[in-house]
Amino acid sequence: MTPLTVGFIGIGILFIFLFLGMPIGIAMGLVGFAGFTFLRGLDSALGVLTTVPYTTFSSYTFSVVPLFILMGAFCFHAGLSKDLYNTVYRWLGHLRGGLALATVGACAGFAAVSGSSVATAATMGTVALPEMKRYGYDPALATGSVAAGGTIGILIPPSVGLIVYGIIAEQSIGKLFLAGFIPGVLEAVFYIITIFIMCRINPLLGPPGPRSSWRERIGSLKNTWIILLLFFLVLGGLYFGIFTPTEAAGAGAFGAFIFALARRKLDWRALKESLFETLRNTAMILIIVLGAMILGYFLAISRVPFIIADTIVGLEMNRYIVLTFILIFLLFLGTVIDAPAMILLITPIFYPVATKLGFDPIWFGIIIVRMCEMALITPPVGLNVFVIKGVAEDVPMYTIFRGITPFLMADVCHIALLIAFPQLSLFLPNMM
Amino acid sequence: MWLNTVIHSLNSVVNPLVRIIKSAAAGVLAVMMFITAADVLLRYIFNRPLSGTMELTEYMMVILVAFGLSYCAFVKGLVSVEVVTSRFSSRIQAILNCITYFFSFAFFSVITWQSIVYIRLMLKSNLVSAVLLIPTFPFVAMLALGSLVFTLVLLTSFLEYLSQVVDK
Repeated sequence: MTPLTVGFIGIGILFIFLFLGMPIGIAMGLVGFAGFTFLRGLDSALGVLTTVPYTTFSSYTFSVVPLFILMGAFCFHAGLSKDLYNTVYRWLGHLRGGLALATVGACAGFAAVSGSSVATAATMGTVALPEMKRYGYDPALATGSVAAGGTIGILIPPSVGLIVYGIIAEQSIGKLFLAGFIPGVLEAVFYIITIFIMCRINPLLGPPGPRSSWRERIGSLKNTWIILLLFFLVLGGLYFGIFTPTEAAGAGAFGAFIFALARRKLDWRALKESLFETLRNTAMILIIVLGAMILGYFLAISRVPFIIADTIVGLEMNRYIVLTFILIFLLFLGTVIDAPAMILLITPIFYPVATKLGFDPIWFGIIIVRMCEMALITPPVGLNVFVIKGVAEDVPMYTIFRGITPFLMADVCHIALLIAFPQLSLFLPNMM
Repeated sequence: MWLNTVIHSLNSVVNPLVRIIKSAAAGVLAVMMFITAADVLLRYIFNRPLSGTMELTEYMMVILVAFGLSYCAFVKGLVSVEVVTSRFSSRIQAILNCITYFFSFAFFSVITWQSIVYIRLMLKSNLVSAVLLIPTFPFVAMLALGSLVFTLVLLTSFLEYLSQVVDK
């Protein structure tokens, strides 16, 4: 058997394992190990298992993962999600669909301190859904705006999705973070326009709330300065090259820790919860990284990624058609696999294709992560939808998906825009 | 019946182990945050960086992840694709879980074994970190320990699914 055949069989077996419900990281590692054994013998394969777990776990680059997750956890326990929602609500609540607008705005704000879409959706869901119910919002619009707004979490930095892409594709995490900023803000703008149009057409979807006085509006800002501070600390530090991503994350986590302490929101229990939650999420991501590393060794000696890249380039198709096929594939895969896992799974395979076709690696990372976000709310399984379903038990699944449809259309427009104008993603990192 | 006894005695060993190492890992995480923040503050405000923060962070990461793994598996936090299996009956699900967890257990047994091999290599080569000259082998040992507990958690899960299959 040629190495190439072994490579393809390996990928086939990997997908069988995945769909049988094997933990993703272990499945990737196991297939990588078995394939390596087949091609290079047991001794070499055991050699991989001797060194790779240690070198993977002891990587300085990866320390950015727990520190950013910890920053998000402290912000959550400090009650920032509620404050943010309250602030945006004071400013926009009197408009038609104002509460839905507030949800998207608050999601974008929370995304600036949190790196995960699912966490953002869950957090905002518990805050925003009861409010929207109280003011008689259409349940489809209410749940749809939370599920969609939550996805902004992995585009606006810090972003776990961009971190794992940067690690596998060997791209600068700082540059990726800067690249994600404008697309992330634009995404929020697209959602806001969507809600605005929907409530123009049918005002019953989101009745306006009471108008807040300017005094209340200004007053509501006092609790949200920390978001701005943390965000500019992290992004500014990276932009001016003052911090490495790990340092930015460490300083950010410490800032959030002090803030939560000062607000007396961080008792012993909340502290323990923040730490354990971070521990669990870090291990969850790093075991997949380990699997991806071992699988990567196997795929490299099987030459599968290079052959796929050569074949696709050899077809001499327009590169945007190839990209479209890749994106559709990602959308299908992304509906069943969580974003970081999917990025770790597909980057080794598609990254060579993208670079051979002449796409910018940073831009490609943004597009991949953006596609994962869309997959999170795509029927029939989008992960965020299940998260929202968990928060809003009385709303049928069908209603949530109905509510999401307009946001999916906004997603398609937004992705098309990012593809048509790579400068939107590359402007900030190129200024560095 | 004997299977349940085995699971029970395994749990009585594994549960306290997981509790201890997860607390240790949480402590390490907090220290890592303080050290990173202190390094940044000292460097940019007082122009006096802490030396060796990078290698300390690397060592702490090993403990954090290796010890976090078993806790993650313990609270069923490992990511898997459930869209296909959730459609099957609970018996088929138990059978499939049985198979996948057996393979997972076997794979991590090998990783644990190889980590122990790696400890010996590190001891022989006397490898130390670049700045603070801290030996590397204790951290490889932490990895082996974390990996061992993780393997035991996987074994327990496998046996639990097995008992579900056998009982029905």
